[in-house]
Amino acid sequence: MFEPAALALIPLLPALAGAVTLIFGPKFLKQQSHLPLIGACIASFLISLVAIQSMGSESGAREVSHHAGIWFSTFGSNPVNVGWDFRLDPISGMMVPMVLFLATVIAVFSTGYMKEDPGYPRYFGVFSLFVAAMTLLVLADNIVLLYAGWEGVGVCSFLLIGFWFQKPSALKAARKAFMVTRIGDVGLLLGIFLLWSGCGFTLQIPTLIEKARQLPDEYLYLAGFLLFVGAMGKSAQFPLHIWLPDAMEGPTPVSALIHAATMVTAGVYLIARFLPVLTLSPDLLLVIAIIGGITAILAALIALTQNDLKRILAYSTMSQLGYMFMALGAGRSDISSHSLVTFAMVAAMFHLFTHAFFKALLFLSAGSVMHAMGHVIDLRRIGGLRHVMPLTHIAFLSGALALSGIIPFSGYWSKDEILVALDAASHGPNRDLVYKILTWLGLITAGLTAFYTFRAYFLAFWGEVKIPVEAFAHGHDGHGHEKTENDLSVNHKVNHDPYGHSSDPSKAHESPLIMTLPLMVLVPAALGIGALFGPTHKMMDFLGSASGFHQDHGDHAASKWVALASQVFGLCGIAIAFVLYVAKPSLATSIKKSAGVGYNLSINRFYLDEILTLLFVRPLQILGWLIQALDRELWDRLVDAVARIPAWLGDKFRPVQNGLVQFYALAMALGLTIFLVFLAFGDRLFR
Amino acid sequence: MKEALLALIGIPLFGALLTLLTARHNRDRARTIAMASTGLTLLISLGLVFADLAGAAGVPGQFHGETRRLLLGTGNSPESLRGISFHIGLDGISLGLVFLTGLLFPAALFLTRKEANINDWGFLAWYQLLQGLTFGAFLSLDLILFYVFFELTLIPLFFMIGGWGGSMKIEAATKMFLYGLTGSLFTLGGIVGASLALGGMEKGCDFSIPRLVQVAKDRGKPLEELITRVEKTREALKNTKTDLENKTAQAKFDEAEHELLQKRNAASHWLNWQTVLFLMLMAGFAVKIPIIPVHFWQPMAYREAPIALTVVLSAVLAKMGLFGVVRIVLPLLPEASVRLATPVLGTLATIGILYGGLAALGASNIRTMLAFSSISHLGFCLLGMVSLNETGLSAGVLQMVNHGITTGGLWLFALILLERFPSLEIHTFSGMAGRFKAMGVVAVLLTLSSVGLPGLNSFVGEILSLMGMYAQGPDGRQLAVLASLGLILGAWYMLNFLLRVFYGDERVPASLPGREAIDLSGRELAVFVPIIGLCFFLGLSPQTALKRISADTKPLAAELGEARHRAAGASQLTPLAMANEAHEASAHQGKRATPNHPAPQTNKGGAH
Amino acid sequence: MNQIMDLPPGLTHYLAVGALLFVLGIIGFLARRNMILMFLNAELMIQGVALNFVAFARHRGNLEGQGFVLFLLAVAACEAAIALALILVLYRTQNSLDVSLWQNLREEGLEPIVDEEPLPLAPLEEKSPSLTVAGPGPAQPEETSHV
Repeated sequence: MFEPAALALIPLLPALAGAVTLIFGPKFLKQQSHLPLIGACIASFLISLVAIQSMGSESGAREVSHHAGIWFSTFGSNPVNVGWDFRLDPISGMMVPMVLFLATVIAVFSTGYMKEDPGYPRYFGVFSLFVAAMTLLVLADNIVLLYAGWEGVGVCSFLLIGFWFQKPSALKAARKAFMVTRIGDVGLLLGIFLLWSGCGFTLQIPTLIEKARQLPDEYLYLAGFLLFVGAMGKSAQFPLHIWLPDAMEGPTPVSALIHAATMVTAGVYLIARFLPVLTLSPDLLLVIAIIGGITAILAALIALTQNDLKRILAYSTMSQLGYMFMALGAGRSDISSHSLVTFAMVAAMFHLFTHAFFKALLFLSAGSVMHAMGHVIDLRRIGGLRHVMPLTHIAFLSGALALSGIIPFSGYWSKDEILVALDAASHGPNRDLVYKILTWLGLITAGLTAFYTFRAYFLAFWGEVKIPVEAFAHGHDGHGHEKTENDLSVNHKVNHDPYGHSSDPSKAHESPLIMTLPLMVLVPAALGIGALFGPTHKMMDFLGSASGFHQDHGDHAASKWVALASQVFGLCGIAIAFVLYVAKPSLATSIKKSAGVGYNLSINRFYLDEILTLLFVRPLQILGWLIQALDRELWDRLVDAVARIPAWLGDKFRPVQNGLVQFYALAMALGLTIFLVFLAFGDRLFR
Repeated sequence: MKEALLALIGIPLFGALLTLLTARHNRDRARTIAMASTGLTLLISLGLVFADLAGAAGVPGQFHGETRRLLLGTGNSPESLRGISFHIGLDGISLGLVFLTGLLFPAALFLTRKEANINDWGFLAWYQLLQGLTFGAFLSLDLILFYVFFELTLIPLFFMIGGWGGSMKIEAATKMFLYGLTGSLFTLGGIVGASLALGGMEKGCDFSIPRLVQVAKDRGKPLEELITRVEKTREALKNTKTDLENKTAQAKFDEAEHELLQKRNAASHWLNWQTVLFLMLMAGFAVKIPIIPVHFWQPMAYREAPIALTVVLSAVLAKMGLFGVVRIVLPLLPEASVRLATPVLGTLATIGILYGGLAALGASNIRTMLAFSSISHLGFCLLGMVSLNETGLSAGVLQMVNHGITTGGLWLFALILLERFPSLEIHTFSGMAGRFKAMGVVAVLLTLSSVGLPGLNSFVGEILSLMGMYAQGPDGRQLAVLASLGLILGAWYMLNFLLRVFYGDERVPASLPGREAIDLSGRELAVFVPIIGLCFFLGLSPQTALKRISADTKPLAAELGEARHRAAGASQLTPLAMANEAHEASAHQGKRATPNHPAPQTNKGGAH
Repeated sequence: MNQIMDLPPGLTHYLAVGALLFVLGIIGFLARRNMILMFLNAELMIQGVALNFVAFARHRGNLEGQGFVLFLLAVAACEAAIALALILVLYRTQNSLDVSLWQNLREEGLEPIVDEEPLPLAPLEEKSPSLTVAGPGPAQPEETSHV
């Protein structure tokens, strides 16, 4: 039988592993620093599996919880009670094993990818802390504890983005990631305050959800919106999305785990968890759905033209997260026939689940490409790799198929559910038009997704073989990361060939086994996991048993047309990509030229970075500079000026001391006279 | 226990004296004496903390290790113990601050290399004197004694900044001194006024803080009971059934309400008087903290003072003002605190958080940045305190300790940078993490602590302060929302510092002549490892400290809660009663037109 | 006025004379700038006050006022001795009794007030006949102006 106290071990083991690695890694563990992490991940994974088995299958409370003591608490009129409270219910029960499984696989991949990097122990130490924080976030039963995990993953993400700290671009990316998510975090914090004070000063998540139902509408809307602001920051939703593409400065396995599979989905997890109460505010749902829709289409449009393989994947992640929020936004309960809450939540979480696998696979394949190509990831400089790296090619292709939502691969099942949910929501009484538009937006995005994914795939793996010079020079020195696009000039000198074609492809090689093995593990997961859980209703049965939800096997078949439509869009996307980048590459160039403005907007990310910097960052920086300068040069001087008043007065009265005895005597006599007059006639004068 | 507290004040003073007598112009001996005396205080304060947390010191919620000697009796009998006394004791509020004082004074000295100009017998004598006075201020339980210690700290500070400071030392020292003096003269007036208003003159002036707190508490009792009576009779009136019952209930209610009206008039005099005292007391404390419009001495003093002094100035001495708020202002003047603390101090604290944050963002020098960040962070402490509930008060006190550790650590970090490099301009550093790995780790951890990462110390204090404020009505909610924006600014400037100094291309400035720029030495590690350990301890297990603190903030919060209830209850009169009151007031005013009406005397009558 | 004259001499009369003396003293003190005259006027004021004391002492029928006056006379005598000695010293340096020549206690940087009608200087004292000292005499400083 499962002992609930073991729940605490799930985050604790990786945390300990992280501490051990960081403290003893540089001196003792060195190149073995991955051992504590992998050991802890496997152990926690097994614990979580056992815990899920013991959740009990009877309807009602399907959960295990454990209160491992108080973190901090105060009493009085507005008590705060934060305990080390863990709870495993179906929603977290889906997340925890997924996180730990992917962490294990990616950690194994990292041992090859990060080999001989001088920061090897640091990498695995922070990686372990990330796993600890992520599991804490998911398992937390107390919303402040959730916030702790939330901030924890943010900091680990910050540290890993800035892992190669000598790279100026990494510095900027790390700061951007931290600051932008911090804005969201403060939103979440305020949301927590609002719920806490509105729900009788409790912080336990189930109690909050229960009590929040009684909140007035505006209050609920505001609380939900603030939670969503937190989710926007963490899950890179418009307009707080700008940090995610830059976060690709970190090592690629980190991008796979943190910026694709786990951390960025924390926002989806949070909103899904609170969906039973947020659904009471239809306006809020609409906001969530619209923001999700904007992000989905925007990211897809930007991804169309990017040349950096990792950035394409990053935008695709954003886009898919937008899908998940669209799904959550479709969780309407104001439709007369039946509530969509459970269906929407399951759709979002299911997509989160499948997405985690195939996106991790895609990123790891990209990592494998980078590793082999000397950390060059520019699509203009690589090509035809399917001959050089057959295993990586298969992995990438499976990931791309799953991402494009081609039947019967994973992405299809989950994306289809989202589109069905959106379509069902559009049959509601009000706001049906918006949901209809969002459905079409989703379909278009599906087509775009297929197009840009396969564009990247064809560019990298088809066509003539192009291998950059770095691929031969890097020799696993661990400094390849410093080679960015700026190094094109180096290429010129060496090769007199702008794209560094190699004449001898045989020298380039497939990544070592330690890296391809994780890929091969993920391939079946990415391809088949959707079919395993989706059509069999296993996901619905499992997630639907979470408290606040109900198992919803309602027939949404009325909207089966969307499945068909999404297939059409997807296949068209792939076909166009094939035509443009394999069959007739010249066509692509001419389209690029004729697109003009659109192309520029897309490749410059709609100038959103620049706009946001201009609107918020610069003014605040200038204000800050102004305030400290004024503080020193103006206000302080003004106060000093006040201090000069007595000196000035003294100066004015100094001539009175003229040294003339009779002047003094006269002054004395006059003073005396005035005094006497007051004394004698004062009460008559001032009556 | 008793002896330990006396030793804390006595040892540094004795050390200062010893330096003067035996170590004139002898740097080595002076340093030995200073290290020994500050080191001893560290041991003692550590011992105190352990004894206290183990419960060996006494019951939480009471003062421990009290010493009491009447210095100047004003009572009419020698037994009355009224007057100015040397009265010291320790409780949960002062424990953390005493520990900080014991920790940071030796740490700053220990990290300063021997050849530094501050290792001068004069400086060291002042330094020890300052530590003794600081201990004294935190331990005082007598208003005048507290004031003497509080005020006397200005003198060592003045001479230390003026004698051993940077290029603008005279200006900085003068400015610091004048600001401090001006503020605390008002505070002196407030202290005397509070003592007279609460303790009265008949039996001699009383300056004992615990006794005056009790008086302040008792004074509100009758009004409290009356309000409860009005509420009860109102309930009874609502629940009546027959006419007869209604009549008697109405009569009872009218009577209670009438009595309340009269009492309320008396109480409102007292409240106005309290308001004046509140503002006077706060003047000195506001300068010390510093709160926004009176902070101008601070960036300059922090920049110009010898950096070892800046460490204690920022991490320890700034807390004296906050300590005064929670030890004197709030408990002695509960009604005025309820009326003014949240709207006035809370607003100023919030402005300070944002202003300090923005200014720190614009600062180009590590010292200036840390100075403004202190304003911002202390704003969180103050915000917690002035929320006046147990959560906020405990958080404010806890955050004082957290800020002392984190900011103390950051200033110590600036100190060791200054031991190696000639300037602290941020732009002269870049990519230091490459060569200075241990430094990088320390800087990352201190920065994360400063930005409030959960698991490190500042998080708990900040979030509880904000929550305390948030729960305090609509005003509090707005302030908490605004203040939480300070979290974003805080992260921004701290990351700017961290990333500019440690990340990017390696560009380390030329080290000072004759000094090799090396990574952390063993001595430095010996200081930073415990400090970071403390950050983690207070972050992961804040309950240890929080429980200890709330034992002493609970009674205060209860008192303030009652005061709030009184303030609300007194304004909840029925319209009819209000009309009566207005009528009476107009009649009363006619009577009051006589030339010498007894203004302050009515206050003494207060709420009898 | 007539009423006062008609009354038998009593407290009021004494007080009136005292006040008269005091006021005369003040006027004299302010109007004159010969140091000796100023001093005498000050003495006049003291006498006015002393008269008040005596009058009140008699009116009250006790001796406290009288005692005061005795002290006052003693103090006045001492004062006279010291004041006259001082005046003498001052006169020796400036060869004049004009009080406006002594403005040295004014604030730094202020111009001295120039007297438009200075008091006439006292005639220079003739040197008392004395024996010439043996040996070469010291260099005689040139005569300096008095103002």
